Amino acid sequence: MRMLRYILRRLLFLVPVVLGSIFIAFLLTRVVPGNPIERVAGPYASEERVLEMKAEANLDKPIPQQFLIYVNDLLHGDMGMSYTTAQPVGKDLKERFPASFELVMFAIGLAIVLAIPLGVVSAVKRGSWIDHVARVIAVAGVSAPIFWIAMVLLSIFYGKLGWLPGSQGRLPIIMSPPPHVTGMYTIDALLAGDPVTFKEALRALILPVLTLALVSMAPIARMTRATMIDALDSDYVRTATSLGIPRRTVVMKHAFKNAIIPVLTLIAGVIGYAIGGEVLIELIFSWPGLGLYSYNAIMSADFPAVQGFIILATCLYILIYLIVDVITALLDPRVEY
Amino acid sequence: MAEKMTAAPLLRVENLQTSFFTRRGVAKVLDGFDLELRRGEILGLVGESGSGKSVTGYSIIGLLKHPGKIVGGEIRFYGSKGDQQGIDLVTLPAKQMAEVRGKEIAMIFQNPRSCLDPLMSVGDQIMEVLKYRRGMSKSEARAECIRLLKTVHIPEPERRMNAYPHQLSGGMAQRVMIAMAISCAPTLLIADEPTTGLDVTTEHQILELLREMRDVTGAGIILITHDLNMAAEVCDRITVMYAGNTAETAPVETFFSAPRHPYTLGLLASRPRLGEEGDIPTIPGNVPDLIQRPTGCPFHPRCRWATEICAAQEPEPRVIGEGHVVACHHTEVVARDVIAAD
Ligand SMILES: Nc1ncnc2c1ncn2[C@@H]1O[C@H](COP(=O)(O)OP(=O)(O)O)[C@@H](O)[C@H]1O
Ligand SMILES: [Mg+2]
Repeated sequence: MRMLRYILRRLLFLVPVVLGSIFIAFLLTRVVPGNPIERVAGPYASEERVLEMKAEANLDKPIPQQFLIYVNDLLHGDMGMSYTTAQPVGKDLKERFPASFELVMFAIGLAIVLAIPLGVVSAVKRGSWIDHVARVIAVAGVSAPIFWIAMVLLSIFYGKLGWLPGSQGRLPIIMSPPPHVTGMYTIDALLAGDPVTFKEALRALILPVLTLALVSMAPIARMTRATMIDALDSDYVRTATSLGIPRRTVVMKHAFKNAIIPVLTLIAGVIGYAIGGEVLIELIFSWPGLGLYSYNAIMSADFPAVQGFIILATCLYILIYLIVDVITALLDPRVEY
Repeated sequence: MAEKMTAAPLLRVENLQTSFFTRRGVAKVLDGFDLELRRGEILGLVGESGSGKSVTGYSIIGLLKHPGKIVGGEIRFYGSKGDQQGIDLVTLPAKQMAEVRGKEIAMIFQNPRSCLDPLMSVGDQIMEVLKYRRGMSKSEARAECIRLLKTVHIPEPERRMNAYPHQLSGGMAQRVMIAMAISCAPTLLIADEPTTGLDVTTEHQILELLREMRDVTGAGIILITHDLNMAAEVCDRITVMYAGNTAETAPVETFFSAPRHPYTLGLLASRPRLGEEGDIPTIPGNVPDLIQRPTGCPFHPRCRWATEICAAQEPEPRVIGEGHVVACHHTEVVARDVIAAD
């Protein structure tokens, strides 16, 4: 009950943040150069036609009025029409969201599953070979750019070995997506009981997921190692040891639980970073998700689409941080809520 | 008091050497340290900060952290079974040492609030010990936990059990620590500056609690402190350590009436006294560098009685009275000077 009140209060505080993001999204698209209508209309459109289209898109009105119209539409669930896809932006985002979500979810899941045990083991066995491996991964993951990792993985597993598809998108061209349930092909294929599609969807995911997982792993493993070392050196771990509590329990129940809390907050940041890195990965792998969509939108000065993407991304960030804060509050009795 | 003097030994530390293998060199933190504790006795272990008191405690309970290592000597522990031979904790295999820890030897530390897991209620922490070390079921552990909290005079134990460490005062947290430490009825309790950071009233209560515990369980307690007033209040005997060496050991009355080691004299002179104004004389100089220890008596660079022999030869501990042992080349001269000054 108290938790529910906490969540509601947090959401209330977020209203101004979302409003701010709407404002900034709107402003950004107006200050960057580029006239969308001329592009959409094409070089042969008549002067009248261009003016007409501008009026339709409300671009002939003063900017403050444009903003009010936009916010009003938003409140009615209308994000405007995309100039490039000629579809409502809301519909576009909804269609592309599952592709990105599937990729990011697998990548972050993989990163967490690998990085946290790696961090824990390298803290418990400081100076061992596993600790050195972890350090190499951490340095590589932090310093190697995403596109470089993607290129290396592609050239090995696609170019040299030919084990995995290259830049093909979510499925081979000849295959059609599984019946829509979640929009995530692997899950939908499983639900439809279609092992062939499942296998292909999974194969397509491997390289982009691996790229994103590698860059996401590094900070998580490093942070886990650091907080775990602190926890193992802490007074409460010394107390538990002095009382003869078994080492396993000391490490997992006392040290790990304390060490993981700051890592959770870091993971929220890593997910945020992954959403940003997504753009590049989707470009490289022709992945038809939000990243590719926003890239195209920016390139063609598609105002409503860019605005829609920024607002959606902001809301996602906020949601992730909220979830992490709630988990932290549940784990840590010192957090007031 | 007299029968206590002859009580069976519980712990005998002989010529203990603990070193820290640091990047700068080997720091010989304990270098031939001796200590003896009897059953049912409270021994004060005193010395300036940095003299090796905590390291002594960690050496005994086997909690030394890397790069610290016991490199020589013996820690003979006679345990609860009244074993005649005793066991040497220095050579005891890690597995058996883990068995001893908590059950036979327990330790409480300064900063009690940071010594408790912040994410676990104090009841759960106590019950965890009872579960692992005494094999209790959940309901048994709960009942025992409440009993323990009552033993350490925590009011409303049923309610306090659910409190988290950050909700407790330092004094309450230290009581919880004591409750955990005595939960397996250890025969040896090491209390490392257990009242640091607590107010005077709470300090008295904690010391009273330690005394009660000794009276009830007959355990031996090593009370580590740099506060001589506190040692005077509760200890039966006092051992003074300096730079990892035993300087002087004496029954508490002798210690204050006829101290003989120059370092003890310095400590006593620099002790803050109630109602006295003016500058407190301090011992000139600093605790020596433990990587390049002075030759001979480690205190000689700061000692006003020091002569050539002090720099050349380490003084052997000598019995100079009933339970009174001093490691000094010039005990007689010092005694004469002290008596003359009185
Ligand atoms: N981890 C360590 N590495 C190097 N030296 C240490 C370490 N821990 C303690 N020491 C040294 O041991 C000496 C005694 O420390 P300690 O036992 O904590 O003193 P006390 O408890 O009497 O104040 C100090 O001089 C300190 O420098
Ligand atoms: Mg200390």
